[in-house]
Order: sequence, then structure tokens, then C-alpha cells
Amino acid sequence: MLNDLLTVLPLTIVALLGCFVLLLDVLSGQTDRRYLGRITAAGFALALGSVYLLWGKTSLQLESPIFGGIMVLGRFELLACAVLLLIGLFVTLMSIDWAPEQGVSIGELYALVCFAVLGMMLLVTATHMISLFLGLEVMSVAIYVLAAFKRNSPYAAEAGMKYFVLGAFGTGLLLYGMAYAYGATGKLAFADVAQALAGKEPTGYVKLAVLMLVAAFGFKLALVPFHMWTPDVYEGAPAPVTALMAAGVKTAAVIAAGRVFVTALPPSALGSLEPTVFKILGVLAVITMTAGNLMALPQRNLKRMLAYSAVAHAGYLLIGLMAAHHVAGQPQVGDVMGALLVYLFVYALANLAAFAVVSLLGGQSQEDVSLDHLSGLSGRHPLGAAVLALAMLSLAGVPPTAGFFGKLTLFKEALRADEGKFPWLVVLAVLNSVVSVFYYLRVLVHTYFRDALRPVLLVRGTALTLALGLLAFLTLQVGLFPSRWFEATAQAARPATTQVSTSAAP
Amino acid sequence: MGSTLHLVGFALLKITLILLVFVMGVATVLTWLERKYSAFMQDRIGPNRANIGKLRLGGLLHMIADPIKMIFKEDFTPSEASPWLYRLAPFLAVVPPMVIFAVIPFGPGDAFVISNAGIGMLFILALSSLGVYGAVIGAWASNNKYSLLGGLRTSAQMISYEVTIGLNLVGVFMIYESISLQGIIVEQGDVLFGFLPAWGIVLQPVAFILFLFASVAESKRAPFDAPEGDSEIVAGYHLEYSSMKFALFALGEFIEVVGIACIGACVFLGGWQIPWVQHTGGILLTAAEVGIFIAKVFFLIWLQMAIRWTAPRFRYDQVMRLGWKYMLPISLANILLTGVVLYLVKGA
Amino acid sequence: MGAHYVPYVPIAILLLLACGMMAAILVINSLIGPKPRSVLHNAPFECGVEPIGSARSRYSVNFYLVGIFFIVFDIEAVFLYPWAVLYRSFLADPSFAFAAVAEMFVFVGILVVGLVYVWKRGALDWT
Repeated sequence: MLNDLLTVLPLTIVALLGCFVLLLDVLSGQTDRRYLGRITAAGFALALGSVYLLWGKTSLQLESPIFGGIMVLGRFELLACAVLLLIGLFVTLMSIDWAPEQGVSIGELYALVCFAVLGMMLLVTATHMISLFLGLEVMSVAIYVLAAFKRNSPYAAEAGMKYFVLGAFGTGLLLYGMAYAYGATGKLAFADVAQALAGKEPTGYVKLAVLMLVAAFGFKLALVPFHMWTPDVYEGAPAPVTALMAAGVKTAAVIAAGRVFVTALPPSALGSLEPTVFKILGVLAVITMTAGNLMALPQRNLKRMLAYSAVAHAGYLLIGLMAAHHVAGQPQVGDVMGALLVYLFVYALANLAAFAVVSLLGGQSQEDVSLDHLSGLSGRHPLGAAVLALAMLSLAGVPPTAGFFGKLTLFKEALRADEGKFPWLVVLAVLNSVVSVFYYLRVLVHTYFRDALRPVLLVRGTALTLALGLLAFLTLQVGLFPSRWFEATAQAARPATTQVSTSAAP
Repeated sequence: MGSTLHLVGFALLKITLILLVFVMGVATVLTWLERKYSAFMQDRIGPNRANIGKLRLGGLLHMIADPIKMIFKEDFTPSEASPWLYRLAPFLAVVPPMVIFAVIPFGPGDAFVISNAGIGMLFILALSSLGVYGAVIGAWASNNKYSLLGGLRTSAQMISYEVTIGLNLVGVFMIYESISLQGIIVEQGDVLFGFLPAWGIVLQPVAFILFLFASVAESKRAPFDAPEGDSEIVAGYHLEYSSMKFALFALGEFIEVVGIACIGACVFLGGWQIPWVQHTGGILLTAAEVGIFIAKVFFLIWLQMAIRWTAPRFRYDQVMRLGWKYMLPISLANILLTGVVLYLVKGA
Repeated sequence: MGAHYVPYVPIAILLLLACGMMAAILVINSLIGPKPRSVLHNAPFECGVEPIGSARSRYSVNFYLVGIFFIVFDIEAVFLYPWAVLYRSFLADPSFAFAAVAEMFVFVGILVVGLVYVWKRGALDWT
């Protein structure tokens, strides 16, 4: 029991931080809430420190399931939690100076970011349907509110409403999927579900469960055709919140989906259903990345463009998920999950950087950030322009940024997973990446080679500058010295996933 | 087949005795008693006119005269009311409080309870949550502004105090380890320190007081009658109701009074347990136990009437403040205290 | 006859009986009571003044807030019931006793955080 409680220390810290900030906000009565942001940032840093401490602790049995097998917090999960905590930290840093400019200087912002990150951490550590659902709800409910955070803006209200309605629909599908899986097996823990299904012909319940779970994660990951909410929500939600959605929700949802399709529904459990599932996922991946990239091409609003780019990246990530699913139960799955985590990390860094620049441009409650607003940014805010350029190059996958190595590893692992099935997917993904370079580079053209068209009010503040600087540093660091990061994640992922696979074996 | 008939027949017998004879009987008497008692407390004479020839019985015949009068009155439906919702509301106001009696044990064993479903208190809480629909649907369907205000006040007040009721029962469940009323009553047969009966009121005094007040608020009776507040919003949610539909609302309220008294007697006053007397069976003892349960019920009914005619009406903001800012924190503290005390006296 | 639903048969009978009785009373009433006479007679009561507009208009947001708080706190109370019933058997297990008490403080503590928050935000004020 004590071991379990110590192991979840990062989650505990974030939960207490959220409660503390919430109460401090209502009890202190101060009108300037910047100090709350600073406390939150410090709290996230503290949680990161606790992750570092746990990483070195061999006395704790890290890889074993805790709290009666509802969650696991091994090295891989610790890394995923660290990524999520970093996302929380950056979102907080970019909110500190941005929020007062928007007239939404409300303390709940920070508390809700804490709760959202808590939900994400629960999501990546869940090994049980109930803890998965709990994490998803804690995360989603906080983000529904955050999306509509600028209460006076009709765009934000639209974003919040759309995200809520479609998110609730997705959650409903997930619950039905879980219920059917439970009906088919009588089990809720992932490993038990896989064990109960192994070697049997899938019944109608299993088919329904798989279909519903695919659709539910499709909503959360914004796969085409479940992506309709993405552009409007990304555009309407405040920039730091969009950063949290783009980086955090995607990371948590991909890891959770990976765990469901690797440990609860591996190919061995699906039996004769497996080829159909593979086909469905493959088609989803192809149309997601193609449609996302094609729709991103004409966008002139930076946030909408990033939304469609998020859809396209969901397609690439789905290839990684398929690879992980394909090799479930083999030691190789650790490498694939590690590659996914690296990809998510670099994708999160690039998105955080891009949305930090959007926050930078959002002085005095400015709503829309079109390409024209970016013109001449290099002269007015060289650091912002440089960070935006790095982020775009990283998203496009141009070396030597982090994005290149993220894509490289992911596609390499996908090819390694099965020589026969994945090449055409990877070829399509690479072609898509080439298409995407066009719209990412157009942002650069506007930033560096156009004169300022209209006056843009910039948000100035040390926290935002710090965030921009750190993001630029990390993007370059991962891009220039990639091997260290990749080896760490692969090593971390290996024991966790092999252990799960042994426990799932009949 | 025989067992089915036996089951249904036995159930019908118990329903007739408990619901029709006891509950409806007491509720009908209450319509007269309530007025007579208020008159007594306000130094008036009260209802005394109904008579059959020279036979007056101190106005007791009013309880027969009133329904007869009401059933001959016009069944009024305001224009632009939603006709079906308007008809549905009285049902929702009167049926849930009646069905509550299905799980109340009037005596030891299965013979004195209509249904021995083990879910007891959960069933009661679920049904009492339904109670709010009667008032709210009636208010909305009437298309009357006073009604709507009354309905809004009713819904907010009832759900506020439901939270208190729900949280106060947690302490009781912790001590008696059961949510079935019969189980709770059996556990209350113990004696503490050799002289103190282990009743809910002894072990959970705070919960008893809060439960009583929250229940009175739940039944919308004075001093918590802001939803009906005659001097502000005429009669609240049942303003437009007349004749038998109005009578059903009134009947529902009186049945709620009896129901609250029954639940309070079961959970906090030891139910059919006679203090210091071991339950050993036997017809005489069982009869005494049923008798003492009914006595306890009447005591609690009297208490509710006394509260109603003593305290003046709370203003609405006071009602909400009392519920959320006083009762709710005290209930939470009560749960914590109960938990800690149980932890410290683990062995006992 | 399946044993598990036997206790619910009397409840169903009671429910039907209660509904039937009430319906009968209302039907008799509507048969023997006088009938409405005029349009004005049927107007909603507004102290003798002709009603202006529909009664079904917007109302104070406070009522919605109370609804949300009710859902939060009442559901929490219901979540406490299974724990409450088992609490003493948790305590009987020496290795788990302290954890049971600590869990109670965590759960109620989260509730209290929520209560303090809505209280200080002024959501419980009705003035």
C-alpha cells in the first residue's frame, strides 16, 4: 500500500496542486492572479522532480501493477508522465502573461490545467477500464471548461459547446465499447480481457466493442471522419488551452489507445477479426493523413492550419499504433511504443512552440491569428519568429529539428514491425509529409519575408519568453542529439510492455 | 402457481393493512388533527362545524366532509396549460411517498414489511428524489407565474436538503453496517454500557436533528414553506390546482409526514425495539413491539406538527443558506467524526 | 419462480394499486364535477389582472447552480454508501484499518475543497 502511494507521487502532487491553487484563488482575494500561475509552474516543476526521483528508485517495484492492478507506473509511464508534466508546465508559463491581456485573469485556469494534466497522467497509467474512463473524464471535463474559458467570446463558447457535445459522444462510445468488452469477457482489467478472449472466435459483442473503441479513440485523436470538431475547437479555444489540447490530449489518448490495443485487444485476442481491424485502421490512417494535409493547405488562419495539421499527425501516429498492435506480445512492442512516445514528445514540443507564438500574438484579446498577422514578426519579435520557424520545420519533419527524428523512428519501427504490411502505409505517410511542407513553410515565408501588414499587439512577459526559449532549446536538443532520447524511451518501454505481454499470455 | 398466488395474496393483505388502513387512515386523520392542533396552539377553536345531525365529534367529521366536498368541485385546468403534464403532476406528488412504505418494517421479521428487499434506504432515497418532480412538473404545466416561482423554489430547496439527508444517513450506515431498514433496526437492539439502548438518536444525535429538519424541509412544511409561501406567491406550485387534484397534493404532503416519521423511527428511534427488552418472539411481545413502533411514529408526527406551528417561515435565502452553509458542513464533519470514533473504538 | 425478484413483486403491486386508486379518484372527480364555463374563467390566476406573456420565461441562474451542486454532492453521498456499509469490516482488518480512515479523509476532503470553492466564489449566496 505504501509502495503504491509512493509510486503515484507525481499524480498526488498534481492533484494537491490543483486543489491548492483553486482554494488559494478564492481565499486570497487578490485581483492579480499571476502569482497563481507561478505557483502552478513551480508545482509542475516539483512533480517533474518527483518523477526524476522515482526514476532512480530501484527499491520501489516500479514495473508491477499498483492499487490492485488498476494502474501501472513503470519507467515508460514515468516518461510519459514527464512529457505530460512538461506540457502542463509550458501551458502554465504561456498563460501567466497571456491571461491578464485577455481579461480572463481567473484563477480557475491554473487549477483546471492541473486537473487536466492529472487526468492525462491517469490515462497513460491506466491498465483497467475503470481507471481509463476515470482518467479520460477528469481530463475531458477540465478541458471542456477550459475551451470555453473566454466566456465573453462567441468563438470560445462555440468551441466549448462543440468539444463538449462531441467529446461526450466519444466518451459514450468508449463506455459502450467497455461495456461490450465486459459483457463478452466478464473482465475489466486489460490483461484479463486479453486472456479471456485469447484463442476464441470473436463473438458479436467483441466486434461491437472493438468498433466502438476504435470510434471513441477516433474522436479523441481527431481521426477522419471523427475530426469535425477539431478546426472550430482549435480556433475558438484560447491559445494556451489549444496547446494543451493539441499536445496533452493527443499524447495521453495515443498512449491509452496503444495500451488498449496492445494489452487488452492484441491480435491474439481478436482472432479472425484481426485482418478486418487492421484494414479499418489502415484506411483510417490513410484518409486521416491525406484529408488532414489537403484541408490544411488552403488555411490562412494559423490555429485552423494547426488543427488540420493535428489531424494529419494523428494519421501518422495511427500507423505507429497499428505497428504496436501488430507486434503486441513480442519484445519489439517496447521499441514501437518508445518510438510513439518520442514522436509524441517532439510533436508536443513543436505544437507548444507554435501555440506559444499564437499566445504571443494575442495581445488585448485578439481572436484571429491569420498569416497576415505573422508578417514581419521577425523584425518585431526575433525570438518568437525563430521559435515559430523551428516549430514549423519540426512539424514538417525537416532535419535537424526534432520532428525529423520523430518521424524517422516511428516509420522505421513501423517497417520493422512487418515488412509485408506496412510499406505502403509508410510511403503514403512520407508523401503526405512532403505535401505538408508547403503549408508549414508558407508560415515561414510570412514570418521572415513579408513586411508587416497590420499592427499586432504582442504579449510581453518574462514567463512567455522563458517558455519560448526553453521550447526552442528542447526542440534543437532532441534534433541534434536524438539517440540519447530514443534509447532512454525504448529502454523504458521494453520491460513495461514485455511484462504486460507475459501476464496477458494464457 | 400456488406459491405465486400465495405471494400475491399475502402482499395484497399487507398492503391493505399497512397502506390503506394505517397510512391512509393516519393521513386522513392528520388533515383534521393538523388544523385542530394549530387551533390549540393559537388559542382558537378550530374546525368544529361538520356534523351529522347533532353528532359533531369535535369536528372529526371534517375529514370525511372535505373529500366529499372536493370530489364535487370543478376539475380546473388553466388555459395554455400542458394538459398531460398537468394531470401527471399530482400522481408524482402522491405515489412516491406511498410506495416508500413498501420497505418500512412495522415489526420484527418478514411478516410486518410489505417487501423484504435488502435495498431499504436506497429505495427510499430514490423515491424521495422523485418527489420533486411532482411539484416541478405541476408548476411548469400550470403556465402560471406564481406557480413557476414556487416550482423553482421547491426544486432548489428539495434537492438542497436531499444532500443533507443523504450525507446524514452515511453515519448511520457506518455504525449499523446495513442499508436495509430491518437490518438497521435489529442492530439497534444492543445495549451500550449496560443501560443505554444503541439507538440512532444516541449514537448519531447530530444526524438525527439534521435529518429531522432536512426532512421537514423536504416535505415543504413550515418553517420551510417558502415554496408555497401564501403571502408572497399565493400557493406556489399547486396554485392552479383545484378539487381532487389539489387534494392529492395535500394528501401527498400528509403521507410524507407519516413517511418521515416512520423512517425516523426506524433509523433513529430503534424501530420496533423496546428498550431493555430482548426480542424473543411470542405473540404478545410482537404485538407490543408493533405498538411501540406506532407510538414512536406518532411521537415524530407530533414533533413535526409542533415544529410547523411554532416556527415562523424562513426567508428563501435563509433556507438555502441553512442547507448549504450550515447543514452540509456539519453533516460532513459528522461523517468524519463517526469514522474516527469507530476507528478508535474498533473492538467494541 | 426466480428468488431474486420476489421482494419486488409486492412493490410492483403496491405501485399499481397506488396509481390505480389515484387515477380512479381523478376520473370520478372529472365526471361529477362541474364543467368550465368561459374563456376568462380558465385564465391563469394573477390576482385578477389579465396575464401578460407566458409564464415559461427565463429564470435566475442560481437555480441551475443549485442543480449542479446537488448532482455533485448527492452523487458523492451515494458513492459513500457502499463504503459506509463496509467500513467496520475494513476496520476489523488490522492491515487495512488505517487506510480505510485515510481514504475517508481523502474523499470527504475533496468534497470539502469543492464546497469551500463554491462557497467562497459566492455561488451559494442568494441576495
